[in-house]
Amino acid sequence: MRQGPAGIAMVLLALLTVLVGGIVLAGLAAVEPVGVLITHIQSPVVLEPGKHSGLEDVNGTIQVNITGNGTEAQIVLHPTYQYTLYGNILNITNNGTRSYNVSIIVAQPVSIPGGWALLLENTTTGLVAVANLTANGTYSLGQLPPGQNIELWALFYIPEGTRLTTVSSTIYIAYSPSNETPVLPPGG
Amino acid sequence: MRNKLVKIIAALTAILLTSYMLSASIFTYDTTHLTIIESTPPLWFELPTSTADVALGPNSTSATINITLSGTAELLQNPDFYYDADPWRYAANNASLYAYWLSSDTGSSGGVVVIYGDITSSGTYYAVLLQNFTVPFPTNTLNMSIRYMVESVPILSLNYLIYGIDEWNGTAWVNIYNSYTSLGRTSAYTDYNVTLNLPATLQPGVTYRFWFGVYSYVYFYITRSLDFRADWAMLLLTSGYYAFAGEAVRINDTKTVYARLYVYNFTSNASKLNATIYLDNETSRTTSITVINGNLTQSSTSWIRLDPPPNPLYVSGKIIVLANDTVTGESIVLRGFLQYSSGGYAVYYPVTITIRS
Repeated sequence: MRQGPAGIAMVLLALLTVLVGGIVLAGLAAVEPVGVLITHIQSPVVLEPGKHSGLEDVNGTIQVNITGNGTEAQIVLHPTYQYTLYGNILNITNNGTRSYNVSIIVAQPVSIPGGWALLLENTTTGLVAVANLTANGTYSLGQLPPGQNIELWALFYIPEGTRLTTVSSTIYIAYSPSNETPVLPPGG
Repeated sequence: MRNKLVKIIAALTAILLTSYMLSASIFTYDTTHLTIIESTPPLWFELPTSTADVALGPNSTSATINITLSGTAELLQNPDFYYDADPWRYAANNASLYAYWLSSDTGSSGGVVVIYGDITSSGTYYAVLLQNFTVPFPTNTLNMSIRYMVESVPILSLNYLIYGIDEWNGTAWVNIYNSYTSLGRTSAYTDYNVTLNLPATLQPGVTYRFWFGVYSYVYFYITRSLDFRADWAMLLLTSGYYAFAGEAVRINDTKTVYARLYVYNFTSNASKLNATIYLDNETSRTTSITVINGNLTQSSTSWIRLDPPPNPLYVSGKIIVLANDTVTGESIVLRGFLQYSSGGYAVYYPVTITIRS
């Protein structure tokens, strides 16, 4: 089943069409057809400590550590019985030059009594989503124009009479120029 | 033929892959790891020393308070020193006198406060216990009841039970009433009941101070101590009104916070019932939640600082309720939160207050 030179050229042409067409239509960049230059760039949508980061918590302090040039955050909170509200512990900021549609994905929910939620507040338009931390889910935060940011707040309800514990959760902030619903990232 | 087949497959592949990439969006992901360490509450409720019927939640982070207005209102908090001496304060004219609290004493109804001193010279000695109070409605008559025992008095001395009322005029305390009765050594706790006919009418909204204690004039120093013990001191207001004035619940904490009380739901079948509810930290108080003629007119207090108490005999703060009605059968229910915060968090404890006449 050897292919002739014309057949091979046709296949290569098809693949080139796919790559150029896909990339251009996705609107990320314009590329020259002759060569492709791949460079690491600063993420346009980054995580930053909120203004309550580092302040006194119910026990200890509100811990927010940012790594990976603003692409990863580790948050430690210490809520107590009844309702505990944390205002602006993390900022999702668009430092880019175009708008992105942003979503939050609860990938690793917590399973404990009570109700736990993340409140997402666009500082320009107001509350944009309430993400339930006790179940998997994807929540659209809408479009985030350049220069704007979304504040992450957290609300916990721990019923009286329950045993206090420590739990962890992982969430993803997904952003894209398109307005489709994101899926979990590989390994997420 | 083979070349034609290759061309067709290549074209189809191009169409399929192009459409896939057109429909598949490119997402970028930032990751947040959240660790939640549930923590023991730094603030909790405690039962009051008043007649309010209070049920606390299993972790003392919620309170259901039932208050029944009575024709007789006790104006003082912790009048019987049952659990401690809070919020009574102590003052004396001589450092050889001091006061301490005992959880019980022979013949007492519970805790007692002892004023004690080893007298070492002739002269005048006096020491008093003081407490601020307010009145739920105007009055110029109060019934005072003091139960005391004199364990010991100095030899060659005259001794008196002294009591009085001061008014805070905004800058200083001004005495508006004082009196006394002779004291001798007693072998058991003794009741002293008297009606105070005040020269001026006490007004709601004004802060007054009640004080009582012991006065000793020692003619000639020989020896022996002064030992005066108070089992209770009550200041009762009796009238045609139905009233309550005192602690609704006590608040204690292990760290300094700022707190307020606010109402989010209010129900009423009352048209004559008035209530004033505020937070008190011993040295200051908030503005009040107010109910006038059965209507909620102010739904939140101002903020107040609550510090850990200086010792276990005291608490950080209290919810104080003053209420009155001229008829029976009325009730109001206030559902709200005690909100406290410090730094970057805010905690909300449910509080329900029901007042019935």
